Amino acid sequence: MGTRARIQLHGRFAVHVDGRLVERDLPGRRGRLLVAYLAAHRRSAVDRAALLEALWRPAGPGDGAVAGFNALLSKARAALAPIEIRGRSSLQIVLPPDSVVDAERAAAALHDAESATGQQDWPRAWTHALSALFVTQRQFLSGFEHPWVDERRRSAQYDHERALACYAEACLHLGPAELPSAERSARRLVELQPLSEVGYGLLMRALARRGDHAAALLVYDRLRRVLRDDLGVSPSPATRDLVSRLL
Amino acid sequence: MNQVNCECGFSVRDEDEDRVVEAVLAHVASTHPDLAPNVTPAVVRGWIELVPS
Repeated sequence: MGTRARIQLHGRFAVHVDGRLVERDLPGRRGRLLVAYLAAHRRSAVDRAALLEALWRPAGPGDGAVAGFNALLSKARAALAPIEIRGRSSLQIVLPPDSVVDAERAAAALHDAESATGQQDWPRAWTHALSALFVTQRQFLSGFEHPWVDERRRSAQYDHERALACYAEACLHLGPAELPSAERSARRLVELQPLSEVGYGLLMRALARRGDHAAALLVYDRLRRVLRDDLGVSPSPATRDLVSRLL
Repeated sequence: MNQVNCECGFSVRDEDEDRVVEAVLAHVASTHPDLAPNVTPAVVRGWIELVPS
């Protein structure tokens, strides 16, 4: 069997090569950030100057940054072997074929989940949405504070909300056993997006499907008040239509 | 350490990745039987979180 590598970018940063913990051998915080950055962009080579700029943000690379970067890269290469960081003017991390990068898996799973939702293939939507949720529920590079990390966190949060919506929708179509999951996911979506009607709609449907029409009505009332107080608008015709159909 | 914390409350943790995959597949087969055919070992490997021992 060939080398198996796993790089975890969501939650605690981790690099495993054939079950061996590698991240602790990387040269400090910036060394870990270097490997995380290359793993997050591994489909294409990253320009060395752009990488230097990204790693030294927000202050920018000062005197000695190039020498510091060269030393960092050399130590990272030694720690990662047999994983390679190839190139000179542009750099690319090269992983063995069966490797897992969690952020990549989540992006592919979310794409498949939304495609399956569009096709109303609920078992497939359930599986892929859950795959995306397992990853995106963890904060991107937890414990790291860096402008690049902040940007990725915002986009990961949006992906998490999309995965929750797909998962709740799939659960609503998969019968009574999955209704509690539909309700939990919809509640989480309402918490994360209190000014979006999507979560409220899913939650009302989950509660009504369970036969709790009063609770569904309370959710609608909460949505109505939030939209009125914060935005000065009423729920959309689609949501009003949903309420009249449910109740 | 490999860990899977399912949204439904199921949780498994083991040093051995294959044992975690096996436990998750058994859980899906017993509590979500209609969905089990979609959940392959490769899918479950993507659900694993690496946590400190």
